[in-house]
Amino acid sequence: MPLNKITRRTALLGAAALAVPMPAFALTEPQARRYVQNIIDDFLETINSNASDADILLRFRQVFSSYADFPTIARLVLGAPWRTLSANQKTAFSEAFADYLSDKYGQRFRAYRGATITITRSVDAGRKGILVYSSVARVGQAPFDLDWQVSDGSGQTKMLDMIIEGISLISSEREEIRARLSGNRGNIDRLIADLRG
Amino acid sequence: MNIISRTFLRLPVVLLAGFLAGCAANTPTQEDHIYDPFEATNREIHDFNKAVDQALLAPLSGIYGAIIPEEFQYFLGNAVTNLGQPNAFVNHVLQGDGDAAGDTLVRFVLNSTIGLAGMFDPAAEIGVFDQPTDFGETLAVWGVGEGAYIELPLLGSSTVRDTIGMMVDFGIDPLKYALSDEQASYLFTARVLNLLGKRHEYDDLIRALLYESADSYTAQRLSYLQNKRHALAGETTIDDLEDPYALE
Repeated sequence: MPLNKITRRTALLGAAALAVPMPAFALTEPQARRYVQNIIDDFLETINSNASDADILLRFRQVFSSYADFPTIARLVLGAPWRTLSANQKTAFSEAFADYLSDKYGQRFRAYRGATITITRSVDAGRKGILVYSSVARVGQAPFDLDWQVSDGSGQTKMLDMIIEGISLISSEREEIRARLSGNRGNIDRLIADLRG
Repeated sequence: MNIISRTFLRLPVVLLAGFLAGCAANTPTQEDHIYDPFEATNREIHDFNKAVDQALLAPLSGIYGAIIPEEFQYFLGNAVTNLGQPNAFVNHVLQGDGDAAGDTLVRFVLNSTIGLAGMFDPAAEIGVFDQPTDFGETLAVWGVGEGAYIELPLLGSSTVRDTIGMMVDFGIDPLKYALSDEQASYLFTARVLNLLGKRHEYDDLIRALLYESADSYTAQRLSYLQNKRHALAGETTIDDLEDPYALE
């Protein structure tokens, strides 16, 4: 495939010459696994703490916000309408979505109290980032798969997606947000208010 | 969330027919590769299923969970799983998976004897775990595409491939030929009771999906399809991932 090679090299040279900013995918698999291990540690510490329910949810929100790439997730979840939003609306939607998501998953993950989560392996997914596999074990129950998509494409290493037994957080929330947007007759400001609940 | 497919959406073997006429084309196009040409009909069935859950399944499973001792629920769950092994064995063989077929056979023999008719699971104690499968998976291994998404009355989420698989399983299950009519009716009752137990066990997740989603139809459809594809592939693949910077 010499032609391919030339095209690719030419494109790269061209990009370099024009100083076009290209995302630098420098994240390595060991770095991504360490990053996910940090998420898991903070996450388990939070749900296993003896703090009040309200404090745990608050802490969960902080943990989630520090690791998840909310601007990117918000954009992916909203899809095409994202491009029609004003800068203010984009910020408002990202923030409302982040709070909504943290609360929703915080509630749900309380059930993981006492679980152990073990990273099993990882794979380099190219421009999609790094896919890190982990397994969640709870006493007396069958273990299940929890996979993580981590990328530094935004400039910082961040979590993009969590996939539980194949079910992607981004896909599920895209369905949910889409349904809520049409429930609000496509009005983004009403959707934002709806998310703030 | 395995849960979802294993219990509520993929209820065990009861029969169903007639609905498949005209399911031909097989090209997933949309986002998340969802092909749902029968959405209007599916949604009507979904509303019916949801009403059945609300009126019958949810309350009955609450009663089941409250009055049936956990030990009994555990024994029943094991016994029902054990009686699924012969059919799983046949399908592992059809898939050419000798290892899984061997494990399944060992499980059935051990658990049916030492495990007291399958109430206990001594096979798992020695590391031979359940490897559930069905003819839908056999078709997938043989290269048959998933086909359109369908929601079946009472049985929940399925695809054309899995619906055909379910009907074939009904015919090839060795148990069907080994049991008397009376025994078969006990087995059916046991499966229904076990289903109530599962509905009870995963009540939180099912409630969130059915009653807290903005659109429970699409939420259930997505969960079923992604979970099913994951189970068939055995893992999340790079193809499954979002390409976060493709839109920009």
